[in-house]
Order: sequence, then C-alpha cells, then structure tokens
Amino acid sequence: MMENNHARALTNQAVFELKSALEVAQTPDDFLADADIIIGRPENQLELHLNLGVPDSLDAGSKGSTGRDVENAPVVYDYLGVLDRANASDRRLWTYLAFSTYRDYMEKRWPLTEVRNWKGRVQDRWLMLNSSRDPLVRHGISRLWWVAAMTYDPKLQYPLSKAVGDPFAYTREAFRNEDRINSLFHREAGAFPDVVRCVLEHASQGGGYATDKHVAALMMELTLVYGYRDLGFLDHSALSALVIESAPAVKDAG
Amino acid sequence: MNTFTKRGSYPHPVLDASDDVGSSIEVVNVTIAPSVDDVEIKFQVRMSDPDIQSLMDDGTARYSFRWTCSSTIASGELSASVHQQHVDGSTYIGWIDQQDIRGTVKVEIRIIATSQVDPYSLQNQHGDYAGASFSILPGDVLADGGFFEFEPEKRYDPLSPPVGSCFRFIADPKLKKGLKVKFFDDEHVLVAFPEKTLPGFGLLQGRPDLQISLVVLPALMQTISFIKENLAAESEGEDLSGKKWYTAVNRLVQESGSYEDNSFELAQKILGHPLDASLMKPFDGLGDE
Repeated sequence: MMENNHARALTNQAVFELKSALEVAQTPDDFLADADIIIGRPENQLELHLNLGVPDSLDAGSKGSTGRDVENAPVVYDYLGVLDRANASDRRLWTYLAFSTYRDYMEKRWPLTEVRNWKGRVQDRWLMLNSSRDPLVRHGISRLWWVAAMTYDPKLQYPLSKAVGDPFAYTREAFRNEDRINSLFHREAGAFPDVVRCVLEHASQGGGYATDKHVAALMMELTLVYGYRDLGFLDHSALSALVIESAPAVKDAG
Repeated sequence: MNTFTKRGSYPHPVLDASDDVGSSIEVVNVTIAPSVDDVEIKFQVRMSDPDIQSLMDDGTARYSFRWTCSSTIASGELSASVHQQHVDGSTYIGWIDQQDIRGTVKVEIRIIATSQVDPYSLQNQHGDYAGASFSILPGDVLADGGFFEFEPEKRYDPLSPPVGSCFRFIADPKLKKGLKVKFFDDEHVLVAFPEKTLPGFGLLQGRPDLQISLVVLPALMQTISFIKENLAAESEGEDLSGKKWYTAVNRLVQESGSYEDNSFELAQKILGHPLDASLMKPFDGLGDE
C-alpha cells in the first residue's frame, strides 16, 4: 500500500548550489560529479503531487541531432501529462528532470564534453535559473513538454492532426528544426495556440513556405499586426486568412 | 498602481494617449488582491468618445481586457464584469486563476471591433485625417487604454503547498448541524458546512488564527486519524498515494513527528500551535458591550 512513485523536483537551495558548483568547476566531469552529490541529498529534493510511474527513455539519436526531438516531445508530454502552467514554469522541476530523470538523454543530446563554452550550455540547456518564455523553450527538457503542450490536439480538431490521425502532428511540424521553435515561440504572438497552429499549417506546405527565413518573417509580421489587431479574438479560419495575407512572397512554393 | 500607454503604428485612427483622436480613454484605480486560488483585478475605465461608445452600445465593438504572462507563456481574455457604474465609465472586476500565472502579468485595456465596420470614421479624429474613412476588420483595435502589470504573489509554493491549501470549505445543503470532513476527493480534503454557517466562517477572514483553530485544526486531526486507520489496515486500506492532499499531509507529519504521535498534539505542531496564538490575541470588541 502507498507505494511511492512520485515525481520530484529540486529545492531552490539545490538550484543555487548547482549554479555555484558550475561557477567553480574546471571541467564538465567535475561539475557533473558535484551536481550528483547536490541532487542526491534528500533535503535537496521535493516530492511532488504527481504520481507518474517510470518514464520512458528518450532517444538522443546521433550526436547533436534535432531530429529525434520530434519523437521525444510526445514521450515527455505523455510522462508528465497535463500540468498547470504555474507548475510547468517552475525551474526546480525542469532542472531536476534534466540532471536526474533524463540525464542520459541530456548527456547525448546536449553534451558538455565537446563544446568550447560548456558552462554556457549548462546555463542554457541544463539549469533553469529563471523561468520565462525564452528559457522554457530552450531548456533541454522543458522545451519538449512546452512545445508539445502548446501544439497538442487531443481531439484531432485541426487540419494537420486530423489529416494524419496524430494528436502530436503540430508538435512534430514545430520540431522540424531548432530555428523554427525560436521563431514560433520567442515572439508575443506565439502565446496564441491558434496562431502557432495556423503558421505550422502554412509551413507544412513545404518548399519555400517551410524555410526558417520564411517562418521567422511571417511571425515577425504577425507580431506587428498584433499591435493593432487582437489576434486572440480571431477564430481559426480568420487567422488562416491573416497568415496567407501576412506571409512574404515565396519564389519556390514547393 | 501605475498604468502605461504604448503607441504602435496604426492603420486607422485609434483613441489612446496621443492626439490621434480628440477624446480620451484612461484606466484608473487599479487594485490587485491575490488569494490562494486566484487574483482579483479591479479597475475603472473612463472613455469619452461618443462614436466608439455608440459602436459598443450596438455590439459592433467591446472592451478587451487581455492578460499575458511571459513566465507561463499564457494569454487570456479577462472576463470582467461591471462592478460599479460611474458617470464617465465603469469599474470592472475579474479574476485570473493562480494556476495560469507566475511572475509578472500584464493586462491591456483596449476596445476592439467585433465585426467589420466600413466606412469607419470618428467625429473627433485628428484634423490631419480630414474626413477620411477607414475599413475596420473584426479584432481591430479602436481604443487603447494602455496596460498595467502586477506580480501574482503566490500565497504558497505550488510545488510544496502548506497544509491549509489541502482543505476546501464547501456548503452541504443536506447538512443541518455540525461540520463533516470528507476524503473522497483526489485534490482536497473537503470540509462540509451547513449552508447557514459557511458565511460565518468566511466572515472570519480577518482572523485566520480563529479559522485555523475552529475548523482547520479539528479537520487536520481527523485527516491524520484517517491516514492512521488506513496504515493500520495495511493491504485492506484505501490506497491514498494518488491523492494530492495525502502527499502534503504525509510530508508535514514526517517533518513534525510521526504517525505514532497523538493526533491532537501532532496537528497543533503542524499548524504552529494555533490555539495558543488565538487565545493570546485580544478579541476585538468583546469588552465593548
């Protein structure tokens, strides 16, 4: 009875200790050894109200590969499930998941040993020191959950997911490359799930519509429109029309 | 609280703090009141443009109170209602769920078109526009009252909530006397009140020490006893591990003692000895009769 299978997070104190350990560490190995000691202390862990069971492992693919994240995002989302946004933006949760639960994936997907600025990578992808839009879609694990959460279509209501019968169709389209994630979610207009869905539908046409440059220019234009038009008021078809109207001309339409 | 205006580049005349339109819109008397579950937001809007007012009266335009929280990548429409009418506008009141926000929250007060308006022109638009008219689309901003920002001030750490947040206080129409504690809910221990006594509990809002002593303390004692009974029943007992309130209470019990301890003493210890605090505090008004 009362088997303990609860998820965990770090305490704020532990996050500070990890940051301090990073500052003084000479090598990635030294840092990860210190991190293991910090995370291993029971007083540095918070037991959460989430009874999640055992997570499926993530596949990092070949070194530095982005391609596997298309599959990894649904795995992380399925494991953590629906979190309320306040908890899902908690740095203590994501830092614990990166250093502990998904440690193998992190070491392969965001390795520290073969990059010159390895401390920068730790701050960018492993540790979450502040939670706001940018860190949430950059951190190695939180980005997988957040992009999935903002694009998941469980009832297959929208065209891309309906067409292939996959509730994560928009998630997979978003993860086609890293720059696309930046373009979609780093701007204010990216807070509207319907805007993101319409842009992904547009990009899914392929060819010139799918290039990083095109998607970035389109999101910039939509952000400008948001200055004088409330995008949250518009329904899916009105937003689709707006996306077509706002998109730069494409030479190679695929 | 300060409010701020922003000035973008609009393709049509917009009523805001600039001289684009010779009328005015302003947001004043903003108050923010966070609680455990939500944040209450109250503000007064003054708007003097007769043409825009006319569009709002016939439903072609409406207020948009859009909030955004960059820490949670969330955005929503504050469904605020009129709290008080004034000669020059209204005070609105609305709530945002604490589960959606963390860090700075921005609320923008605008008036937007709900349908197409063509031709659109305002009698008070700047002389540079002369008699020009414009085509307005649904969602277009007609007036921008600026924005204000606030911090939600969490009443507790959502990843590690205190015992008080484990309880929910509800009215039970079938209950005529006394309080009952119920454990079937996955998130909260429910403390049921007769309908006529729950408002009295609410009136003690200014004396949380009394609320805790009178209601939370005995409810926590019963909760601890309930957990003890389940532990004693071993495999025959109910599996509580999926219940959020169990995790929080269990952690507090481990921090303050163990299930071997007396429930009354343990509950007092967890709650920081509320009876002592209440009895040592003067009861305002008792000596005035």
